[in-house]
Amino acid sequence: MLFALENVTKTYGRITALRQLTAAAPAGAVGLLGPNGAGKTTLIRTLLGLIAIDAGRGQVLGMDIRRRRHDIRQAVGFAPEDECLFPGVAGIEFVAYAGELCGMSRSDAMQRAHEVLNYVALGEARYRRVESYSTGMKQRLKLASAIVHDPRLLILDEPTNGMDPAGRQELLELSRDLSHNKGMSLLFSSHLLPDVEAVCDHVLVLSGGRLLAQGAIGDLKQAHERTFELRVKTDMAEFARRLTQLGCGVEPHDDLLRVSLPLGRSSDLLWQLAVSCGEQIRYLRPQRSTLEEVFLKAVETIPN
Amino acid sequence: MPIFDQGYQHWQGPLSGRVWRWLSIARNGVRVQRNNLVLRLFLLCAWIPALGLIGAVVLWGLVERKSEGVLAMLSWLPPDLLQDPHAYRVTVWTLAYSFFFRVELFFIMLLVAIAGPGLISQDLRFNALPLYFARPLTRLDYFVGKLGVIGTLVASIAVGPAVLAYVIGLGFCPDLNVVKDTYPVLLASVAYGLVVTLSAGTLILAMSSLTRRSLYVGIIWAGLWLISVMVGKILTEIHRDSVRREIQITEMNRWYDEHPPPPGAQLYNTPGGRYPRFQVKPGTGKIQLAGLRPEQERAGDRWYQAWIKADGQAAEKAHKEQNKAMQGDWRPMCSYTANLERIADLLLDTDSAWVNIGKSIERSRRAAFERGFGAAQLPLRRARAAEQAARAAEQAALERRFGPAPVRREAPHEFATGNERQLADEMVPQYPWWWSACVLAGLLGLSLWILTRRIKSLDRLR
Repeated sequence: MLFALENVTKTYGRITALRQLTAAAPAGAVGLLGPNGAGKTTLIRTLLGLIAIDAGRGQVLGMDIRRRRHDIRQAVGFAPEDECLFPGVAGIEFVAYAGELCGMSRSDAMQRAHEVLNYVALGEARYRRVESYSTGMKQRLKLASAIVHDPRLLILDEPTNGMDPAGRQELLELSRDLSHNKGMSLLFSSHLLPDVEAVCDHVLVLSGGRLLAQGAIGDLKQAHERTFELRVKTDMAEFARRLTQLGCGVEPHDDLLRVSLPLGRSSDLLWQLAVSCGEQIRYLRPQRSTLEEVFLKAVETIPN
Repeated sequence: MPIFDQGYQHWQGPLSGRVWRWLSIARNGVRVQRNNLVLRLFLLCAWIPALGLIGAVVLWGLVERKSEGVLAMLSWLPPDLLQDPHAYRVTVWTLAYSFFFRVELFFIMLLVAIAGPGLISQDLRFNALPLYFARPLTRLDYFVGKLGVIGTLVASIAVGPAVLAYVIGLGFCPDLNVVKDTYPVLLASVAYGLVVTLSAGTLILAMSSLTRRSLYVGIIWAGLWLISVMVGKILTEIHRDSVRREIQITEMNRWYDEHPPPPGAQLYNTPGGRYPRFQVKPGTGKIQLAGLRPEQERAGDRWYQAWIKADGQAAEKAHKEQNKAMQGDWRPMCSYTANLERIADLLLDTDSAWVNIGKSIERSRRAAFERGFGAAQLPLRRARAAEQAARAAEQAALERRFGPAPVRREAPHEFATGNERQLADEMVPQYPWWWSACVLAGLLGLSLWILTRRIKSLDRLR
């Protein structure tokens, strides 16, 4: 188990950031989804033991969040959302210093810093002062400083913020590589659903301090029983008209038709219609929910 | 596979214990400061006073070895010091270190102004605190690490040179007892370095935590240091002068009442008291009281001689009362550096060293007086010696009955006669040392409170 929280509550004055949150995440790549103000950052800080919770209990990597905060931080690497720098040093010194703060010796930290900077593809720029870095370089630097001590759990808070598409893609690939190929668990916090979908296998959906949904992404993206994505060989418009006449809901979507069958009917209806029209069905697949739909559906369940 | 294609590698090396994490912060801070060219040049200049200290202890070692050239060069010193330099080893070393630390305190204040302001303010400006506290560090590790930067720099210009001078001084001393005699000086140097680091370090860290702009911190620090020094000095001098003047005026007014000037002589009023009006007698060039008739000149001369003697006695009494008043004068504590100097004087026992020098000077003066006036002063000297012997016998009887008296910093006051304490009273502040300790402790407490409030954990809503 990556972490487990039970009835965790955290308030800041009149604002409740986490409301009796009970959640558990398996080892692996876990996404933390939620709109702004959902409580993602507060949850991360709770896991790291950086803040004192008002109620509840929890464990991270089997360690209690109240009693073993420093052990948790030793085993966890964290790349915060905000721009955070150790001032006045070059990139290589930045990462080596991060390693020293975790207890590595100077020589080990320096060697390890070069290794991780090679991994995140920060080449000769590592010898420049960090204040001169671009946003993308700073994000890579943060990632490197988070993994320099080889943590068991890596927490990335909005890691692709401000990155160009190529850089964003590379960072997502690095994150996926770390979590799927290098045996490092990952907690990926973002409001960008495609990023979470690209990297993670498991997701927690938060909003208003509550857990709205959790589970494997594959399981959450359910197949719809009566909705299909369809493409025919010749006349899509005519086929759509005939489907409508039969009581089906039809919605064009890119080069496909999204067809909702009436109650009590199955996909046989589509084959029968194709035969009667003399059409060939070239593509037919049951529609699956996107993560966005899962998220929006979960958010809709919040009482006003 | 080429190295650059290896991708991510796991790491299982050893980790240091958590108690040493602050050392990483201190080392990084020193590394960053080393990149500052201005600081590096300043450190070179700050070593110049250390050369003076090394020179002083080396010179005294040569005096102990009876080096003729050095003895000739230092012939202006009281003969006692040159005849028995071993007896004055601790005194000379103490004074040398005292002067060194007084001068070096100026460099320390400048050093803190150069290196201190950015220690926390830059971390606030670049939002580095989440990077620190997301790692297995406590706030205490962070504070101690930052304090360690100041401590390292202070050690490099004050404690380090003091220890080096001590080691070099050992090499020039003719006997091994030098360690037994002088180790308190070494310990006092190290202790003083710790006091300065703790006090100045926490103060600058507290100021640095108040703003993200290190320039403002430097300005506040310079203001605290320079303005407090000026205020302390001005208030102290005004008080000293007013005490002395009041005593002198009172004494002289009483004397004028008891010894009125001859009729016709004029006294004019000044802010410093009443003074007789003088004139230069034409023809002879002799100074005499103005306004006298010729037949009053001899009486006027006698009155004038008596006035000179009374004025000198009044000045001496005023000086003594002034020194006594300084024992309870709080005004020097307005200066931050004066409080640090007071602690240095306490640790080094500079007061005793100056009293020893004063005694040596007085002995030399008495010896010169005896050579000059011999038998005429014999009864007075015999009476004074008898008085001192009686005091010493009384003290010995008390010690036999009640045991040895506890060592008191004030002990030299009892046995040193007036002139023997003159240097000590002039050179060493006489107000209680614990007043300065309380001021420094108060500043330390305030600094810690500010630091605790400012460097909170990340428990705040963004």
